[in-house]
Amino acid sequence: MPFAARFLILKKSDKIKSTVPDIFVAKPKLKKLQIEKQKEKLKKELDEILAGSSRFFSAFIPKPRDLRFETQEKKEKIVLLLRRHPITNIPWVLLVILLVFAPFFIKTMISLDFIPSNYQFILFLCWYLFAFAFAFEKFLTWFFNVSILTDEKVVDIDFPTLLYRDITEAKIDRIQDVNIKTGGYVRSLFNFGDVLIQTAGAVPEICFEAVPDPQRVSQVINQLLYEEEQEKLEGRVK
Amino acid sequence: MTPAENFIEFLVKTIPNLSIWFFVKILFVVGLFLYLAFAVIVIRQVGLMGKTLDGEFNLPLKFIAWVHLIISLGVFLLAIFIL
Repeated sequence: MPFAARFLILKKSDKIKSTVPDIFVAKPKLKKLQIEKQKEKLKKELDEILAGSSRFFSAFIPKPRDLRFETQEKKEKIVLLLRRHPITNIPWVLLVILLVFAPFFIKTMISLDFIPSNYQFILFLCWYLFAFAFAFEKFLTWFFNVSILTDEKVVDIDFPTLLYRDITEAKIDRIQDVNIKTGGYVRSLFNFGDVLIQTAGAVPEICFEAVPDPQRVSQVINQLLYEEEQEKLEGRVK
Repeated sequence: MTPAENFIEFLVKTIPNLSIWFFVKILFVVGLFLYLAFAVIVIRQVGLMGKTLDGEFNLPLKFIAWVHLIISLGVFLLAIFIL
């Protein structure tokens, strides 16, 4: 059988015109509309999860106003700010109340007449100074030890001791797993617990300790992860 | 005699009206001086915390820290003059 073959030698500069028709090409306007609809839907879902009252002294503050953190980028928005549940402050608050009333109890129980009155006065002042310092330090620790969720990353700010701070960050797209740890009478009763976030970054785990409503926090993180994935996809489409 | 006992004897001889309250005063003054240093550190700490998390409540906290320092200074001076 005769064998016939035709070869076409192409140069690098030659352009090949495909004769195979495209099966489906989405219209650019339609694509944009779909993306925007998807974005709105995600935003609505996130707002639904975050719905509820937020006060400045609260431990669960969705989209806080007039608040910035040091490593925040210009376009970055805070989605959720978390602190330890206020109920975790009860032990030190009780201790402060005890410290405030202790001098009166001591005075009724033991006679302090052997101490000169001027020494007694300074002793009382010192006692209340220490009590105030203790309460103020505890409050500062609670108020500034925060966990933040932004649209870009997860941030955990800790002040373990005086003048020492520890800021841990991880990009949302580096999150691999989110675990919730709750248990015990108090935690179950007041609905708070730990949220453990495993990341693929330098810090393998970020822990949001004793935060209120850990289930909702986990939902928010998952929603942010989904949004980040969508953004990535859009970036690929664009 | 131990060095501490020697020192106390030296103090008793040199200061005629020495009493236990003199040592208590020294303890109070040294303690309050250390507390004063702590109050200064608290101001720096509040500043650092405010820089890390900048919110509307930072100003009142700074004010409280400064008032705390002023009161500490007042008590320190009072201890020196009253005791």
